[in-house]
Amino acid sequence: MNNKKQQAHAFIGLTLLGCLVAAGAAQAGGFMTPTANTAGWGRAFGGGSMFKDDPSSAFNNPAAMAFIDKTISQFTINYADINIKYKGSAYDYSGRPMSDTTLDENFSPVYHDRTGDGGQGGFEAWVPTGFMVIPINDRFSFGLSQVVPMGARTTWDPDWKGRDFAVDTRIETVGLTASLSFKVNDQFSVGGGTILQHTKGFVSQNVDLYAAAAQSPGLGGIPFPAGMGHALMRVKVDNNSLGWFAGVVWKPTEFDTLGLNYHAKIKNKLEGKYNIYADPGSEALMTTPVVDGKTLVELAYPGLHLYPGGANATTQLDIPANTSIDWVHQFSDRLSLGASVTWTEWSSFKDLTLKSNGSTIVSIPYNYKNTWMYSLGGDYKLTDDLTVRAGVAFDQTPTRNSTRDPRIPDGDRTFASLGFGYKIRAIPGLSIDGAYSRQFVETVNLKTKNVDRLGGGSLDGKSEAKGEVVSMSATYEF
Amino acid sequence: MKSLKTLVCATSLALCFGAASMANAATITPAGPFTTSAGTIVVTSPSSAGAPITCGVTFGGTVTSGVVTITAATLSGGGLCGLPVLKNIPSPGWVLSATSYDPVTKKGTATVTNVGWTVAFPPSNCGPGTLNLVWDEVTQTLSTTSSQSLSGSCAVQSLSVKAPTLHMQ
Repeated sequence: MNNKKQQAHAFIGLTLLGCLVAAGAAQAGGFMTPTANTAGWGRAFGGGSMFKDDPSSAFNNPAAMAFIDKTISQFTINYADINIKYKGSAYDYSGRPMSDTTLDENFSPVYHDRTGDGGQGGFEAWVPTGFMVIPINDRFSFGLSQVVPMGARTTWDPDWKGRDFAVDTRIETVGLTASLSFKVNDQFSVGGGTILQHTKGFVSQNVDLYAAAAQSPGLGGIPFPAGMGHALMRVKVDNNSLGWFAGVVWKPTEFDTLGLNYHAKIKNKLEGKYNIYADPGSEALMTTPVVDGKTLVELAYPGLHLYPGGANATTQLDIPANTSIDWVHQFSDRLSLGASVTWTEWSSFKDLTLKSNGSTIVSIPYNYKNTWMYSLGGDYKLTDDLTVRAGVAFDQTPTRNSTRDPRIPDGDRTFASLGFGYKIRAIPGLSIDGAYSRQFVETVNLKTKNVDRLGGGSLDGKSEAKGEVVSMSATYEF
Repeated sequence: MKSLKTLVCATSLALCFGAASMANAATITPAGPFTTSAGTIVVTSPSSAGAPITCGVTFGGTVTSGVVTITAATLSGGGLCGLPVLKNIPSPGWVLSATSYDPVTKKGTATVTNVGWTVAFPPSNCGPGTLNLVWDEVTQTLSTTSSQSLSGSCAVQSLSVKAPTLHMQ
């Protein structure tokens, strides 16, 4: 391949990648998302990127690029429809049902219990990914990809009974990667790469100022009525961060391919702003000095300053390290099966802490646990042009019963997938793939108590979730 | 003659009633300055969104002619207890008057007038009004027996303060 031709191929491929402007999330455990292409979705990720000529190896295991002998560019679009519902109760710090509380003419509280379950908390999203592998010579290959390694979204009604726990949660990441592989020999290769990712986060929720004051170190013991007014805190942050990944591939026999990859933890400090949309009474609690220049919020929580009009905000949301072992066995010219095991070090995610000007506004403990994902899938060539796929996967949730909340009401999930691949003879080199994946999510308890600063309420309910992903891709082999 | 008898009887009744009235009259002693030891007061007001606020309280003042004029009062307890500004303190003061005393049970009753307070934010304007209190000579404690309302949607839910130098008779 001469240089000009190679550059033209790279240009076409990068143009495809450049088309990827939007990102959502197709949820897996926690706030990670699968980075598979359509073929991978069709196999429920079984075998990872170890199947022949899989360009998603550019990110998932760059060592596998060493066994691709032509330039391949691929564009994938995933449509995700995640449905999440909450069923249960919510109580304020005193144990009575969450309410929209007013005061009568004698300033006695009048409670109007909140009955809304939040509606459908899930989402629909379009998640684009793109991969490109360019063999440089017999030993080296270069890879590019655009992936969405992290994403989660829940949206609950603003006035629902759990508004003190979550209203909106959006975490979206787009990563651009570059990788290199080296073929040691026909049986063994190594590879590595870097990822530059942009993460955006948006969370909102109500802060029950009176309930928080009732449990505060400064005003603690005063049984203020909960549920008065509103103070919707909205935090919008983003960050660019760098990470690395590496892999090895071993072909012990002509029919077996084994891969091991590692994606390192990425430190991710998000910066931005928060503001608080509050009724006049609640706003005054945060802004009106009452004693020694301190507001009632500052009296309640010494050192805590809340600025409804806005102030800077930072939070740490690291992407956990993960490692996978993939195995693909070719049983015949028609049948190949793959299996994968992925371990994710979710224990690195201990809390969601929001800081402003160096002081902590709130810290919500999560204490995630490490997880395993097991998957099995395969391809069957019906004809030279048409391949069908199927797979199943089981993905553990990192969430714990004690800290799971409506932000990420995640349970163990099972993926069941079907897919196909078709070579379009009319355009040599072009093929299309399609996949449908259904997620059966375990119904999980949401029985958590809010931190004092957010009102100290509690939930006693369940989250029911299910999901569907439809994936389509176009692949061009130069 | 009949009218004379009537006059005598009426005079006797008047004397009898007068004597009885004098037996129930109560005063607070000794004259001169006094200070209470720490007590507690529980109040509600718009500032607390109707929630009861418990504060420590001490009073000081002067006893003159059996009537107490409270000219100093201190609230303690931090937080919202630092917010109220007491009305009529130091002048003209809250006036504590004994209304009855039973030497057998050693218990009496009293009223305190001019009671009120304001809070700048969240705003409250409570009283002034009158509180009805009971006095226990054995424990030398002045207290309320029930919640008592003041204008401005305020109330003193309870008050209990010990005045070790005061006596009621």
